[in-house]
Amino acid sequence: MNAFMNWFYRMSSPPHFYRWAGTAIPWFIWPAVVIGVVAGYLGLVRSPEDYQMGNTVRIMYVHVPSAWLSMTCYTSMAVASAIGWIWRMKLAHAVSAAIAPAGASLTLLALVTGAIWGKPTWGTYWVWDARLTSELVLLFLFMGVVLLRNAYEDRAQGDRAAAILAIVGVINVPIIHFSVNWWNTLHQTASVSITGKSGIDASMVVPLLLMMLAFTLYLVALVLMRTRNEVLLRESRKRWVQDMVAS
Amino acid sequence: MMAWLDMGGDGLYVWPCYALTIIVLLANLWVARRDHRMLLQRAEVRARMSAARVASSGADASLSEPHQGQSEETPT
Repeated sequence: MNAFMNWFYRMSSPPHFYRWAGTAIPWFIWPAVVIGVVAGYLGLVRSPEDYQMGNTVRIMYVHVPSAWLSMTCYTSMAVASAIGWIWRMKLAHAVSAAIAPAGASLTLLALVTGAIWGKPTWGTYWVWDARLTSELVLLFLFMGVVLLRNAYEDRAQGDRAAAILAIVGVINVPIIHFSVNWWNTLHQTASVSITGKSGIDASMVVPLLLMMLAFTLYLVALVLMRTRNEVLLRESRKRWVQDMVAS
Repeated sequence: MMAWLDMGGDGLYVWPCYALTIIVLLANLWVARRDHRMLLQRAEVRARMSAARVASSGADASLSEPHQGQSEETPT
């Protein structure tokens, strides 16, 4: 625990984080590419058709990871905002600011791939059922956090306002997750379970889990890249940045 | 091959999803790299300007650079 706190403390130093992230990014991005290509091959070529949905089931391998990550992104953003708010850690706000647009893009991707999947399986691109509506609310929350942060002249004030919205909005994440159980939705319930028995065959679960792993690694790399940018933006007047670019 | 691409008509829905996914994932990386280059450039200009300012005010002659002309502020 002490070692972790030590690491955590050192990481909260922007120059230390900037350098560490610079070396860490390739270690996430290249495994993401390799695993993503393998998962894509398994999903598009080797996995079987669904007996009801036919080949459209292959949309699952990109739809589920993006939807799952949209919620993970939101939760991480809220946690980062809370840390920034409670302990006044600037780097945590930078992480939160870095996640928001990335999370919004994945939420949009989940919504659009879901809509395209909906047409052949449900006969409609969109319904206002609980799952789809709460995921749309998630997109608005991400956009709200981005806009609110930029609405203030003073960065610290913008960070605080964005943090409040991010933290309050996190209530939507369990709503999305349980919406398919709580309400009678057109969207199906979860097929893959961490604790219990999965409802789908291994030939489909394996590419799905691999793709989720690839997406997660990709997202870590992306957030590290975007956080480095935030650090540069926020610390541009600091000595270490000036020394770094001058040398 | 064509049959695989067509997927019995379902390719019409499957391929756009994969195309959009790749576009979104790559666009995110592209934007992040472009911003990074831009921010580094901006920081470089700022560092050069402050070095020139220090040099022209005579506070530290050792930081003198051949970009003194860029300094917009006159020393008081």
